[in-house]
Amino acid sequence: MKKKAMRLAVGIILAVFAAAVPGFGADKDTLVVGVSSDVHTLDPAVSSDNYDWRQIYPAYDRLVKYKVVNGEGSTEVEPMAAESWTVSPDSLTWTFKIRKGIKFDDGTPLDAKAVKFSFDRVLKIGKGPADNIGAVKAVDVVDDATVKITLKSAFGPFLQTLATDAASIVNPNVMKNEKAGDLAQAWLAQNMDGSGPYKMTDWSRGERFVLTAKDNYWGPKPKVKKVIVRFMRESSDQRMALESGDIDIAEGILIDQIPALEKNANIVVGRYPSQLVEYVYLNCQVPKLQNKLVRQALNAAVDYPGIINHVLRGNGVQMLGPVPKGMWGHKADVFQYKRDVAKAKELLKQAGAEKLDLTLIYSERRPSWEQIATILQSNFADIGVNLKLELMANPTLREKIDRGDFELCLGAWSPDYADPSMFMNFWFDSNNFGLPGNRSRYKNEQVDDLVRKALAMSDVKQRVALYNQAQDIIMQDAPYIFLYQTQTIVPMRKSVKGYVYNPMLESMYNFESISKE
Amino acid sequence: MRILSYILKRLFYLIPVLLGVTLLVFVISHAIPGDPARMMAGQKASREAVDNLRRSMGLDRPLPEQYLKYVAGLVQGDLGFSIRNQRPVMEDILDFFPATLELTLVSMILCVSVGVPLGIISAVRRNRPIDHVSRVFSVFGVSMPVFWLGLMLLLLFYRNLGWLPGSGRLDIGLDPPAHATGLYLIDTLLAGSADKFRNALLHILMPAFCLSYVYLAIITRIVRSSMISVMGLDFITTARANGIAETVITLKHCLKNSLIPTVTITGLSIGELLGGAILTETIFNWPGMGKYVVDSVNFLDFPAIMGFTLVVSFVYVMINLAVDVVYAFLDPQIRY
Repeated sequence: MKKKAMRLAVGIILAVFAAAVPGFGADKDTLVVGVSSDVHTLDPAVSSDNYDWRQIYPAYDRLVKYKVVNGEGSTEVEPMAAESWTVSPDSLTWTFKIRKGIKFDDGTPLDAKAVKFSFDRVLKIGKGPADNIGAVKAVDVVDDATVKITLKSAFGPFLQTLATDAASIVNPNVMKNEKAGDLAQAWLAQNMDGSGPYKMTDWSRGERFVLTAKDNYWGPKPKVKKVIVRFMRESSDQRMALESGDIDIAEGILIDQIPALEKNANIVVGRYPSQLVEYVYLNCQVPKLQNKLVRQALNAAVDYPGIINHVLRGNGVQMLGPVPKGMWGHKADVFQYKRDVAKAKELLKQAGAEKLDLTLIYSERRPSWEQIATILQSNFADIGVNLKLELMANPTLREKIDRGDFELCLGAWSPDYADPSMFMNFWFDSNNFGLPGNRSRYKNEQVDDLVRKALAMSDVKQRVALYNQAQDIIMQDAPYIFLYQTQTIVPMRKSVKGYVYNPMLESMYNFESISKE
Repeated sequence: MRILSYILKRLFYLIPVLLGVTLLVFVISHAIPGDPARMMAGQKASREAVDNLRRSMGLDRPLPEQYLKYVAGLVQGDLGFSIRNQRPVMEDILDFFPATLELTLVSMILCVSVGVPLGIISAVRRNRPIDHVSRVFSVFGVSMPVFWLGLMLLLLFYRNLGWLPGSGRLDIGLDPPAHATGLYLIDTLLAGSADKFRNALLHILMPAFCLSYVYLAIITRIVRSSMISVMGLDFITTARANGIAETVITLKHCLKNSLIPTVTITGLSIGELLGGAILTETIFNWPGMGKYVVDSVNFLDFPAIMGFTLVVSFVYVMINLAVDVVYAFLDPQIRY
């Protein structure tokens, strides 16, 4: 009897183990992406999070999309749901011709009415995404295939904002699911209704999100039929799954594990210059930092190459001016600080601020911050500045930034659309004090004037000239310490082809044009 | 009958306990500086967008009003609306709790089915080689950091040997079973899918072992020490003198009398595990309550934090009650 039971137990264990399945990566029709953050809401009018956009974006069409030039992402746009457009001489009225034959899943045509509905909905709801298309004053239906958008004032980057997630065109029939006047927000938080190349077929919270290609998509047919976004928070978990072939792309592998991954012949590590920058806000309103000589001294104390080599292991470049490399309006010859201890000391002496005590606040939002803070502390000690470090929870940090309750603070920023105003106007316009962008509470009327003028123009050359002028003043005023521009690192299996990185679509993927060999 | 009235009395006490918990959590979570509307609105949101959000979520109302509204909702079974996930907290908990429950149950089964026999053997064969081995095994368990153990298990059995699948509740390509209980091991069987059941079972082995190891070690040690102390008592000597078989003495007389501390520890462990084992869930990518609450705290999602605390407190109180009732069965001297 005992023996029989034993045999049965061994039999069951063997049967269970025998079924251990090999890697999933062999399936050419399915792409699996390992990501570190879950999805929260699917409503393009509510979400301001790239991790949500990763799923929302491929399920919707927009009037325009970013161009791909020679297999590389660019910041220029080209027609998508709009076939063509014209703009009035005062740059205030834009008229779009909409492509015929695009339909939502229930057969409703994507027409001028749908465009008007979507834009009106985002603006009426008025949450984060409304800022992205905030230049829009009114949307009018001219006829089924023509829509006219009127702007509040001329806005240089308007076309670029139409390629953001906020400008996704939603089926007007979602209103059937409206509850208590919520403009279908509760329904769209968990459902999608777009005309894009993919639709959602499974969302198991905390586990995976599945997008399935539509057979009748009007544009080029997607090559992978199914995309599985797998939520895996641990870097080492992602690494093991990538090496075992269970996932095809891994998004959240820590920088110190990359060199080991590169030795694996089945894995390609892509490095792309991103527009994500890290910098230090110097609060210009606190008495200790009001004198620009002190801010210049702090800028001159920092060991920029040291930080890049130590913290990023070389995966980044020093920022030259506030507009990063790769964004038009970047000024390569702008004055930039480099480490010069003697000069920094001299500047502090001139300012009468020797023996200065300052406090730097930061959170754990980015793994790099702890290391940067320590390096800054030692760099500043060299010029006689005693820097106290204060680590706090991210929501608390954000609250302090918004109130201006800090001296120095670490920050990271990436643009939502391809326009230098994402840096020049957000960071320096004194109307944007606090979290909206001007986090160092910097006020210079001349700069205010220049950046505001530049924002209201559409002529690129004139805008660049104005921004350049502002950049020269800013570098002397030194309201921030510009540290570096990061590289986005995307490790993937060798079999994945056609991935295009676009700095405007950080953590998002061109699923529709990726294929597997 | 007396036990029934005892249970009813304890259930009645539940109401002030839970109300106290909500008030405490409400006050503490609102004392943290930070603004959930700002977290939700995104990195660069304008003042208007943040204000709109704050108003639409009712966060602009005075705190006492927000609290009363919350409690009023609670009475109707409404746990509030998650700021981050933009849906009722109850739906979130129904999505995340079953994963934790399943992991806890499997871990506890492992704990008790291995820990108790190991404790008995150790006690009976005190100071013999098997006792030493089992003690080393348990000291190892109590002192091993879970994240290290988890990573090593994954590295060995998943990546290097390929015997067990990696993280998650099912293989990446498999669709989850139709939602009946939320416990994949049961849902897959209900759906009649033997393959998926096998897959879910393989997936739960490593995280369950990892989670159970610490408690397993504690249970082994407790069973051993309480068995040893019972074995030295007079009634055991009497039983032996009466010629009762050694197996009967060990299993019936000693074990039953040494179970009270074991039941206490098991009850507490279940309560603790149901709150979500954050490290194990993170390493094995297990979509349970631990991960959910950490994300909610990072986001200042007050309703989610409160809903979670409420559920965990409720579970704790219920388990404590169950433990007290079991005492009465184990030891006739205990009366309520």
